[in-house]
Amino acid sequence: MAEITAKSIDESLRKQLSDLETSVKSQDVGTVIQIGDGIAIIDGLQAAMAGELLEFTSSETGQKVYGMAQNLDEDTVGAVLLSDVTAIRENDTVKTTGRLMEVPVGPELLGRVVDVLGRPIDGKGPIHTTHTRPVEFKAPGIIQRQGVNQPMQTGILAIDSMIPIGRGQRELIIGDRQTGKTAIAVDAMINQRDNGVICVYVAIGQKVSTIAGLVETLERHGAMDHTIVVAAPASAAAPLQYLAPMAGAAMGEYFIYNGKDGKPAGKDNPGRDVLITYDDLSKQAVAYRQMSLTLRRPPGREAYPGDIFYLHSRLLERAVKLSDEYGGGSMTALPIIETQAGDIAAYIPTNVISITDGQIFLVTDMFYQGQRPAIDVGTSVSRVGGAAQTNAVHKVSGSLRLDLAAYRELRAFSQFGSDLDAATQQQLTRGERMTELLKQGRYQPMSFMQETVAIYAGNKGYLDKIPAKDVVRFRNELFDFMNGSYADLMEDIHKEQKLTDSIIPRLDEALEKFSKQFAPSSDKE
Amino acid sequence: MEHKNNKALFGTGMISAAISTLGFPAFAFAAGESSSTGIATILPNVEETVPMLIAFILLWIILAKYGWPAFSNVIKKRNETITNSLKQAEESRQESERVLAEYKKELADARSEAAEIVAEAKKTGEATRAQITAQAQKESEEMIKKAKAAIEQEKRNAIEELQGSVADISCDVASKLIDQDLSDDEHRKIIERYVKEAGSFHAN
Amino acid sequence: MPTNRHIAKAEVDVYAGTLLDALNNNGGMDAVLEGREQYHDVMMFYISHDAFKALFQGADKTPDMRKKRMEEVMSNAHVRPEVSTILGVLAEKDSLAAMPRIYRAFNSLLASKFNTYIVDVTTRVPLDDHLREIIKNKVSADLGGNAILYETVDPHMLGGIIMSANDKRIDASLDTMLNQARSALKKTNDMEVNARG
Repeated sequence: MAEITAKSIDESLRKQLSDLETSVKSQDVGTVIQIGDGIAIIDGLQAAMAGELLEFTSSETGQKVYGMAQNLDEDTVGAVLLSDVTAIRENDTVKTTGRLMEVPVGPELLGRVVDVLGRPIDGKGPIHTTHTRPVEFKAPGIIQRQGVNQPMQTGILAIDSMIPIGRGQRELIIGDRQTGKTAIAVDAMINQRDNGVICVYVAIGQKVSTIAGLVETLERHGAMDHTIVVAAPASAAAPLQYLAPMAGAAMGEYFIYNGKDGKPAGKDNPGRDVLITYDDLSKQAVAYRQMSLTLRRPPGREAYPGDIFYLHSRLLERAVKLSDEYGGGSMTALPIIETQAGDIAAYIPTNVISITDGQIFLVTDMFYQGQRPAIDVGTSVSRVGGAAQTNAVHKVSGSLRLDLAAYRELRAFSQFGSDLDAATQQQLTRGERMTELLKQGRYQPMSFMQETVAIYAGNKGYLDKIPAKDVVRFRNELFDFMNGSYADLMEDIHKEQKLTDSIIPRLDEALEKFSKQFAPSSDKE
Repeated sequence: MEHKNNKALFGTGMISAAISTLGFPAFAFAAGESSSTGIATILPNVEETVPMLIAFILLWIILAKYGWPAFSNVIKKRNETITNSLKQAEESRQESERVLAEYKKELADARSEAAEIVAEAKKTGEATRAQITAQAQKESEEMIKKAKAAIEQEKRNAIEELQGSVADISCDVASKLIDQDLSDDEHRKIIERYVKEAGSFHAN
Repeated sequence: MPTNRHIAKAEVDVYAGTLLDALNNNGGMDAVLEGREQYHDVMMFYISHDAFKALFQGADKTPDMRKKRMEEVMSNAHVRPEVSTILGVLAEKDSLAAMPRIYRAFNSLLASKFNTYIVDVTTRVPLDDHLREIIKNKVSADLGGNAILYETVDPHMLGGIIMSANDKRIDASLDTMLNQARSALKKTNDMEVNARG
C-alpha cells in the first residue's frame, strides 16, 4: 500500500518537473468572431484540418476548452465546442493542436464510466491511460476481414435460437420506447461475464439517473469489470452526443487491434472480442441534426443533414471480424433505434436497417401481453449470424421460426371456429408451449447448453403434457435438474458443441426422468 | 372324473325318486284293504298287481321315452352351468392373484422410484447449494477486492489532491515573486532569452 | 459580395491594395501602421458588437444611408480618412462582412509589396532598443523580410513576451509557462505509486 508521505509527493513532483517541456513553438492562432449554441466561428486558422482538435483559451478565466473544426470556409472555421460552452467569448484566441480528435484508450478504462473525451465521471479517481486512438477511424478493408464465424451468445433464448448473432456482426435492436431494447443489450452484456468479451456501452442522450441505474445493474451482476460505459447524457452538448458512438468505438477498437499484452494484435497475439452497444443512434442523429443546423449546413429529409446516412454507415462499418492474420479480434455492434409508434419506415430507422446485418424488432403489444422479451419473430432477422450459430442450438431450433410463424397464423384462424382436427389442435398446443418457452426474465441469461436442452424438450413434446402456465417453471426446474443430476451431460454438450449420437439418448433419458418427477400445478384457477 | 361321478349319482337319485312316486297309489290301495283281511294285507293282490304292473311298465316306457331325456337335458344343463361357474371362480381367483402380485411389484417400483427422485432432488439441491455457496464466496471475495481497490483509490486521490495543491501553491508563489521582485531589466533579460529560444515563425 | 470566389478574392485585394497605397502615400510606414491598427479595432468592434452591426443591416437601409452613417461614426472616432473612406465604401456595398478578409489581404500585401512584416509584440515592460533589434533580427531570419514592431505593453502580464506575425503566434509569456508547469505538476504518475505499494 502506498503511504502518503511528503517524500513520495516530492519525488513525483520532481519527476513531472523534469519532463516539463519549456521550448516555445509558434502556433496557428485564430480568434472567435461568433459564438452560440455550442458553435464557434473562428477567424484565421487557415491551416486547420477537418475534424482537428482546437484549443480555445478563455480570456476571462484562462480555462482551456477544446473544440473540433467542422466547417472549413475560405476565411473562417466553424467549430463545435466540446466542453464548457459558456467560458468562451468572442475575441478569445483559438489554437490548432495538429491532432485529430482522440480519446484515451486502454484496459485502464474497463469498469469505468467515462465521458466522451475519456474523462472519468464515476468518482473512482483519475484514469491513467498510455494510449489514445482517433475518434474517426477508417474501417478495415476486405483483406483484413473474415466472415462472421463465431457466435456471440446473448443468453436470450429467443435471439440465440432464431436470430443468432455472430461476432463482428451489426445487429440492430429497434422498437418503440419502453419495449425492452436496452434490456436486451444489457442482458447480452451480462452474459459475457466469463468469456473474455469486452463490452462497451455508449449511452447517448439518456437521463443521468438511467445511466446510473444501468451501471448499478451491471455492477450487481458482475458485468462491470469487463465493461466501459461511455456516457453522453441528455445534458451534454450536442457535439458530444454526436461524438459519443465514435469515441466508444475507438475505445473498443483498442482491444481488437491489440492483444492482451497491449501490443498490436497479429497471428501470434490474438485480438480480443468486443461487444459495443450504441444506445441509441436516433438520439445521436438528432444531436447531429442540431449541430448541423447550427453550423448552417443545408437540411435534407426530416431536416437531417445530407450525410446522416454516411455518419451511421461509417460508424457501423467499424464493426469487424478481423482475419486471423490480424489477430482475429472482433467488434460486434448492437445499435439501438427508437421508433415512434412502430414506424420503421421513418428516415433514420430505414437507414440503419439497411446498413446493419439484421434487426431485432420489439413490439409494444407483445410486451404488454407479457411476452418478454417482446421480440417479433416474424420481422426480426439475422442475415449472417446463422453461419456462426452453435451447432447444437442450430440443430434443435432449425424449424422453430417457421413453426412459430405457422402457429401464429393458425391461432389467428382458430379464433373464428372451434372445430379443429387433432393435428391442428396439436400444432396449436405445441406453438403455445414454444411461445411460452421463449419467455425469459431479465438478468437470467442461459448458456447455449441450456438453450439446447430447453428447445429439445419442447420439440420432443415434453411441454405438451403440462399446462402452458407451467412451461417457464418446467424450464427453470429442468435447468436445475440438469445442473444437479446431469452435470456431466451438460459438460459433454459444452465440449462437443453439438448433439452427437452418444448425447441424444442420455438427453432423452434425462428428460424422461425429469418429466416424471415434475409436478404440474393444480388446475384450480 | 369328479364331474362324471356327480352325473351318475344324479341319475340314480332320479330313478329311485320315480319309483317312489309310482309306488304311492299301491300303498294307498293297500292301506284301504288292510282292514278286511289279516294276512292278505301283506300279500300282493294279483288282480291289482298285474294292471298296476302294466301301468307301471307303460309309464316307465313313456317316461323313459319322453320324460327321461328332457329331464336328463335339464340335469346336463345345470351340470354345465355349475361347472362353468366353478371354472370362472377359479379363473377370477387366479386373475386376482396375478393383479395382486402386479400391484405389489408396482408398489415396490414406486417406492424405489420415489427414493430415486428424492435422491435426485437431493443431488440437485446439493448442487444448487454448492453453487450458491460458491457464488456467495465469490461475491464476498469480490466485495473485499472492491473495497480494497476503493481504499487504494482513495489514497491515490488524496495523493493527487495533495500534489495538486502543492503545484498550485508553488506556482502561485512563483508568480507572486515574479510579479513583485523582478525589475524591468530583469524582465527584459527574460524576454531576450525567450526570444532567442523561441521556435521559428515559419515552421508549424 | 459576388459568389464567384476568384472575383471575391480580387475584390478583396483591390480594397486592401487601395487602403495600403493610400496610407503609404499619405504618411509612409507610420500611417500604414496607424491605419492598420485603427482598421483592426473597427473590425473587432464590428464583429463583436451586434448593435453596431445592426446599424448597417436590414432592407430599410439604403446604401447612401449606410455610407453616411459609417463615415459619421468614423469621424467621431477620429479614424484616419483613408480607413474611413474604405469602410464607407464597404458599408455602401453592404460588404462589411469581408473586413477580416481584407485585413488578411492587407497584411499579406504588406509582406509581398514592401517585404515587410508587422509583428505584434505584447510585453509587461516597454522594450528597449536592444530587444527590438533582437526581435527584428529573429523575424527577418524566420520570414525573410523587414520587421516592423507593433508594441503593446500589458501590465497585467506576469512577464515574458507574446509575438505574433504572419498569422502565427509565439506565446512565451510567463503566465502561459507557469500554467503549463502547473498542469504538468498536477499530473500524477500512477506507476510510481504502484511500484512503492
